[in-house]
Amino acid sequence: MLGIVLLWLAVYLLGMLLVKLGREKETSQLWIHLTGFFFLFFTQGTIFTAAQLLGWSFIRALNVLALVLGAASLLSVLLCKKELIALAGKRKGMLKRRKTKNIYLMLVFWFWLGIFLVLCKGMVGNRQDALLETMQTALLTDTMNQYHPFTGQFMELGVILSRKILTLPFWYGAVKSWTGFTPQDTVWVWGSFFTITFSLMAFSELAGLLFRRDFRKTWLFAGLLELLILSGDYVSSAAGYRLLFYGYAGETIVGAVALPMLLCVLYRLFAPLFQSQEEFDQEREGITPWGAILKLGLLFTASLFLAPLLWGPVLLGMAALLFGLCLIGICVIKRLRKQGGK
Amino acid sequence: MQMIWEQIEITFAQAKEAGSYFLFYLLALGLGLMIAWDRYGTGKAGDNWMVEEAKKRIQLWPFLFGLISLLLVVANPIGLWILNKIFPFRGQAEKLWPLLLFLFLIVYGVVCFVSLLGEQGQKNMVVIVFVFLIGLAGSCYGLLSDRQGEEAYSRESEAVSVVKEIFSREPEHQSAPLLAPAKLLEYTAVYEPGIQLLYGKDMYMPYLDLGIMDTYPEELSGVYEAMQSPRENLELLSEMAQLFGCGVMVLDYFETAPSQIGQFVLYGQTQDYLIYKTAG
Repeated sequence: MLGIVLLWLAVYLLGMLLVKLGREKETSQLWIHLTGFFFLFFTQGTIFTAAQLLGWSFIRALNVLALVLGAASLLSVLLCKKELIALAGKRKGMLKRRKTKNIYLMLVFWFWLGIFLVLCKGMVGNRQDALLETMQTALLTDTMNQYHPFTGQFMELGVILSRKILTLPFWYGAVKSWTGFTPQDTVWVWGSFFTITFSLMAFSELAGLLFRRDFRKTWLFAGLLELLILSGDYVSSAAGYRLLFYGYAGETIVGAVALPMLLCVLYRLFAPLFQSQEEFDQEREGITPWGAILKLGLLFTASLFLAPLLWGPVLLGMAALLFGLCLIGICVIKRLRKQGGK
Repeated sequence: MQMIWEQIEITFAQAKEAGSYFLFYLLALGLGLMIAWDRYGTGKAGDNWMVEEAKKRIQLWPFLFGLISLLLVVANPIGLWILNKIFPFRGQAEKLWPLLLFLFLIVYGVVCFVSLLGEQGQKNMVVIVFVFLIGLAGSCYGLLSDRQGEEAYSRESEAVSVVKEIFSREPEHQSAPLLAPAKLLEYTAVYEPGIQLLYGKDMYMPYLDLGIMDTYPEELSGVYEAMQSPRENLELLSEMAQLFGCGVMVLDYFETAPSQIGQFVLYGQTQDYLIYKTAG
């Protein structure tokens, strides 16, 4: 469990670092976690891809990744000292009410997600998992994509280049090594657990923006969403469609976490077109162009390492296009209304 | 009592299978359209029950996003065909469903609906009814488990434990690949990665492209075909297994299974499987 806690801490510190680099003034805890989540995937993807091209062993790549994450976390602590102290509430002027809200939010999240964890354990009948098998092969053989993940036999020719960038199995291998859980628990339970958690965060962040940080509405949204996920058949499939199919898989992470986060970034960038100046708190909720570029770049490159055959960037690109269409549609309607009003 | 519980399970399964989540999604889109019509159109759909101030504050673009995704992409055969030409998603259109903001819009719709109501009692009632309905639509908050999956797991684990027993008694078999039916291969690959297999599921799942450049020898597809009806292909399977150096061969159970097939002798059997190993 210590490994999981340290990983969570690393995610948070990486998020703070990137928020600092993006010069974002005021931001929610969910936003920091989400940023750190994708920074983590970006980092592991870069290192594991480079490791494969350089012919490193799996353990060597793990050690380099651990070193980089450790160094980045330390850098975050050094650069974000003031913000971390403010978070701990030691700084004067920290609003007690806001601190209470954050604590309450985290407690309820952990309560519900504890139930998720128990439910995730019901994956006994699960099988047919190329991701898990690739991860196990890498751990057993201390190589990366040199042994066939299904048969365990050495491959003369190996895999094509576009497959070398799909590093999610190696990331789970890293988590397994650092936490000591079984491979099945690491992928099916913890992988799903974190994806669903961060999916909740991403959707709640989006809802928070849309509800203008109305405490009650955002809370109601988060609670109902948790119940909806709890009620769903998110391990296998339900009636030909899936809500969160295979929560640990790269395509789900892109669809359930990256996509809503992309919409958050785009909405923050273009919010004045949707809302009036006094309705949208630009100072607090807005995002600088540099911050947006950093976030979008992070999302697109992280998604490259998650889903096969460029599917991640393609899906996010389609979402951005659809958002653009919505923007155009609303601007046209507003213009027509103004002209009609004249 | 058992019969009553089974009837409840069947009811839940039927409600789930009917696509009730999708119904909620369509209702959410309908609410968005209604608010849009009230705000921008000439209709007065919500005059009697919508709180005016709440109606003005609702952001409508998520509903528009979902609607455009549904009409242009997910539910549009021409759109899907064009997309598949540009970027093949191998016929798995459900990969595009995240664009619907499926989960998000269902709950966003409910919260917007609740915000439009005037009285607190009405708001509470709507939330309670929604919680009940989504429990009915899904797996009843985890109470219904995948029993079929658990039963299959226990049958397969029993067979693999016999295979492992062979390995522990005769370590020379450990480095030899295992020939077994597909379900057992899949179980072994996930739960016993140390056991080498003669072929994996990429042999018979054409869409499962791992980008592996090494191809299986042609003869192996003949072995896979023969494994579909082992009773009629015993000799062939025995010869091919020996040719590829298999130490253990597992077949689907059938009544008149011989105690020896070529170089393979029957070592053990379970409810669903026959386990053969090389003699000597």
